[in-house]
Amino acid sequence: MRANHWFEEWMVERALPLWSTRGIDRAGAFHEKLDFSGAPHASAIRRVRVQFRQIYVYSAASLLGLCKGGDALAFRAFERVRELAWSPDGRPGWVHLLTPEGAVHDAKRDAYDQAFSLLGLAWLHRAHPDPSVKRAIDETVAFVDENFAARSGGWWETVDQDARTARGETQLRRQNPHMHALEAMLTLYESTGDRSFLDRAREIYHLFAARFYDWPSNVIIEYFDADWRPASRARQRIEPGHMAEWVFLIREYERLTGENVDAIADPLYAKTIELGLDPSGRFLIDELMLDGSPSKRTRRLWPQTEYLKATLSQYRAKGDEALRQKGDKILTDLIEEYLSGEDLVPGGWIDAFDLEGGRVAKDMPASTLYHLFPAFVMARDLLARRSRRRCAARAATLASESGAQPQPAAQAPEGPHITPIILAGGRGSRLWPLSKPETPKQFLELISDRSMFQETLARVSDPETFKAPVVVCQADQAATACAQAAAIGVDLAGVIVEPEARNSAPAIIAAAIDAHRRDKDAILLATPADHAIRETALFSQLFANAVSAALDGAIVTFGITPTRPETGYGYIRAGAPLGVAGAFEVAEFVEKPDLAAARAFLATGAYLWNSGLLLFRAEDFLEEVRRWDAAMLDTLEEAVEAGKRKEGRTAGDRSDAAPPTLKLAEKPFARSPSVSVAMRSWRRRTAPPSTPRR
Amino acid sequence: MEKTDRAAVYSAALTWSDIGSWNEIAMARGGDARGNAGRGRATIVDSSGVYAHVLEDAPHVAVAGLKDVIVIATGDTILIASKDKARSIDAIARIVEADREE
Repeated sequence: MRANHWFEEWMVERALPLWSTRGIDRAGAFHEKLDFSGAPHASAIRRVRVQFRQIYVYSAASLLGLCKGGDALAFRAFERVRELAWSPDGRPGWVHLLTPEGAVHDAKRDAYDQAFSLLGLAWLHRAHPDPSVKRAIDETVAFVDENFAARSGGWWETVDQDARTARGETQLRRQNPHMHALEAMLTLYESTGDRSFLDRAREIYHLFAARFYDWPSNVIIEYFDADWRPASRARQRIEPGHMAEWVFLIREYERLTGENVDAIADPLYAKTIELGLDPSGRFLIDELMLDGSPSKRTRRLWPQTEYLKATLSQYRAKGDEALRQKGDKILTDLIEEYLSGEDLVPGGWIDAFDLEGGRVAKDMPASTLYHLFPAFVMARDLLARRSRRRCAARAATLASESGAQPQPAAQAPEGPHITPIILAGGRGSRLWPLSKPETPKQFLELISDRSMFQETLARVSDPETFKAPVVVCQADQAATACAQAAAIGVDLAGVIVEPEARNSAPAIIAAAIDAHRRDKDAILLATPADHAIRETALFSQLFANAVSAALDGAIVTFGITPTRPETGYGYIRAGAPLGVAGAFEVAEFVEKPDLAAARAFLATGAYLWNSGLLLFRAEDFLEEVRRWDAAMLDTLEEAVEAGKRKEGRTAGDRSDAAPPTLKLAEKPFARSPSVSVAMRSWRRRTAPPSTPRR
Repeated sequence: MEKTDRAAVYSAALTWSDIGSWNEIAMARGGDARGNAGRGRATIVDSSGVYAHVLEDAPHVAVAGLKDVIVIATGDTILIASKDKARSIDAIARIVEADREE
């Protein structure tokens, strides 16, 4: 069995059920640890942070449909923890430790604990949106702002530290609570759509880039004085697990903000491996001195899950197949070493070994499930061989479980089935002085050493999914387009030349008409050529689910979660779920909003950026166009019909011959309106109800 | 009866940006601890949020003490602009090209 399938079965069928039954006490709180047979250590002191880690795991598992009732269980634990650990002494904040009976064991207010409370609450807010959860988030954030925010940046370790420092007390500051504060802020932003959390995340990221990450040595500095000067060398330690954890977190930051983090993530990831691996080269060790000698002769389970998360997030960002294979290997080693053992209860693990491979752990701390769960989710999503059948089947199962109308999951055909239509006819001049009318931005090397047009071609080059692409551009751009495609070894199926510059709708419609004439079942993906998308290798995987919606007759747009109140983009408001995983009805298309509207969109969380990508069956799309504007369709059919065709090289032809070209007829084309497709669709929706429907 | 509507939106977990101006390019290229980034021969000191894009046939560019500025250097033109102006560079381009023709 492949490692990711084994891991999925282990997590869903063994580990989650174990901790949701034997891992919970009668009052609904989580046990601190279990022994290897699965019996709870009922007398162990409980860390409040661990309660919230488990609340996170069961909220997320419930949201992903992996643990029925997980949200209710997490909510019950939250109610118990709130009763015991929030402000039991009349002062705000979550306390540090509880006794198994529920009394306060240590009332210290610790930054690390507050960060984990926010992570757990953010997920619970999504899975079980009870008003008390949102209230707890607000109270915790207010408490942190008031008591932990340090004038020197970041958070203090405990409350009253400004005053303590003024009295001359010294306490080392750690990067570690900030790592979890960043994680909490990113999660809160995703859960609530409240942009202020993204601003907080940005502040922490900047502190990380300026202080925690050491640019010359590429390691993470763990300990600091009150003004963020590194503590003495003798006190410093290197924790490879933390370095891996930061790689994962800043990649998440990149995903949500669009800020490129390569300059840190790449060298940090390389350094993690260089310094952190044990002699076998398979596992990260727990802790090193600055000179590279181990300061703890152990390797716990959690640094391995972080190593896997870091590797898979590097894979997601870079699309390098070697990283995927590496992730597969790390998971295989992790399973063999840490999750397998004759005496282990199903779903159990061995939490630590010494460097000679001897078992050190005496029990299973609950705290590690928080590391295993997200590693599992990433492995499931990123290590899976693409299997369209399985995705479609799962979408259908999800739909019927959630009570939505079960829809027949259309099966994507095997082999390449989508024809990309590359919209490369833009003439924008905002990137002057580099962009010129004959060489507009899409043909320039701006982001990488390839042009955005070439990057676009590369995204749709997966031969398992895509057929050869068709390019739509202007007459004076065709030669550039063909030369740039040839330079990266892409065979174009054809070029459609627009007689004059137009917005996207006429280009897409003309391409759809032409494609439909050749193949009544053609499935097209229309894509702009001047967008940047980081996840090149994963791009085609997007279509596993989306194509089944298209085969069911939908015209599929692709929405991106906004990260700022952008006034330069169009928005899509998502409506009801469609029963195919990830797909929603379009409630509304909105053209570029003003700043006030953009801020409001961001706050609601219901609006997505319109990426301009469109996936559809040509036949369905043209039928819709006829309903929107029959005259426009007729005009463009005429432009295709009367267009000038030039035969080009045939498939497999290795010469430099040009691809087949269709120059649209000028007169009818000139009559087509310059509009975008989203705009047309939106206008139709506001038409009077008497509009005839199919 | 909006059920007959064929438009669907698929929520895509992509790091995406519409490269509409130099600001998006600066963002996509990342930066150092102070948010400075460059391509080609550029030296940036005591500055923050500066993006310098220098083509091979342009002279070496040095920037000191500036904040949130883009510098684009080609063989025949150097553009220095505040990031606030990035979205209206097309208008500036028209003025410059008109000046050039005079």
